[in-house]
Amino acid sequence: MNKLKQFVRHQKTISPPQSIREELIENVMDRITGERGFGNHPFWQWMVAVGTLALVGVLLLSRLSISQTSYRDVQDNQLAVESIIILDDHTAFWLEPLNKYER
Amino acid sequence: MESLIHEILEGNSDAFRDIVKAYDRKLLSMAFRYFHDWEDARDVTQSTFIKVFNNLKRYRTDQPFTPWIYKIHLNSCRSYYRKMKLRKNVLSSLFADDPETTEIENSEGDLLIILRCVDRLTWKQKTAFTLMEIEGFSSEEAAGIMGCKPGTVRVHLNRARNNLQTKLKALGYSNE
Repeated sequence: MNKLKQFVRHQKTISPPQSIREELIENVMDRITGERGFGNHPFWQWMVAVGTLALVGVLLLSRLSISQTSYRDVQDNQLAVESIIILDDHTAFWLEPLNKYER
Repeated sequence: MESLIHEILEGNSDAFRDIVKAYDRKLLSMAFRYFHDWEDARDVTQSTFIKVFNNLKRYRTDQPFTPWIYKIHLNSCRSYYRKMKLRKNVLSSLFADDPETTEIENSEGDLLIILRCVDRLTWKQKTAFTLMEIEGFSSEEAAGIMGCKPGTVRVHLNRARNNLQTKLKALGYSNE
């Protein structure tokens, strides 16, 4: 069928615009050099992962120690009402640690 | 090509530019035959080259490079085509008229009508037709790219030709 042969011949002549080719080459090379760059080397990826884990560990430990300290503080230091302040419809209780009076 | 691949695997990424320059025109044209849009063709071809680069160490140098890169490209085209088809289905359910279809059907150009017929072939028939009739691959090479036997590719090609002839006859084109 001549029309089909004509179509095949036409399809063989199709060529991409130069701008598309240039964009493609630059995009690919940018992606590739980015992927092989300093930050993407497997060694540095491991280092970042280990560093992040270490940081999370330190933060968790510090948070744990802070919460334990404050719990102990509450246990050790019982509070006493130092004074009561009444202003219009607001009532405020001024609390102070009990051991302040025992010293 | 072998020394170029060796150079890239040694860490010289810039050498990959030569591979891109050697294949960009062919792969872009092939993708264009599926999507009829140069920007879509560029996006698909870009993903193909990234896959080629990332899988270069898996390439066996005793096998020809061209069918290998075409096989990766065909897979990229197919997954992009599926995404596009899904997007088009969603869009066509939202809009009554598909603008692209209307544009092609309204056109009087014979080539556009044949293009429309080729687009209506099954994926395998269209791929066999594109690889063998347009790209000029042998049935063995096309089979390597499509991941099937050469006889199967020839069957797909014959079915594609028969379907096209039937469709063109129905449209009033006689066997000239």
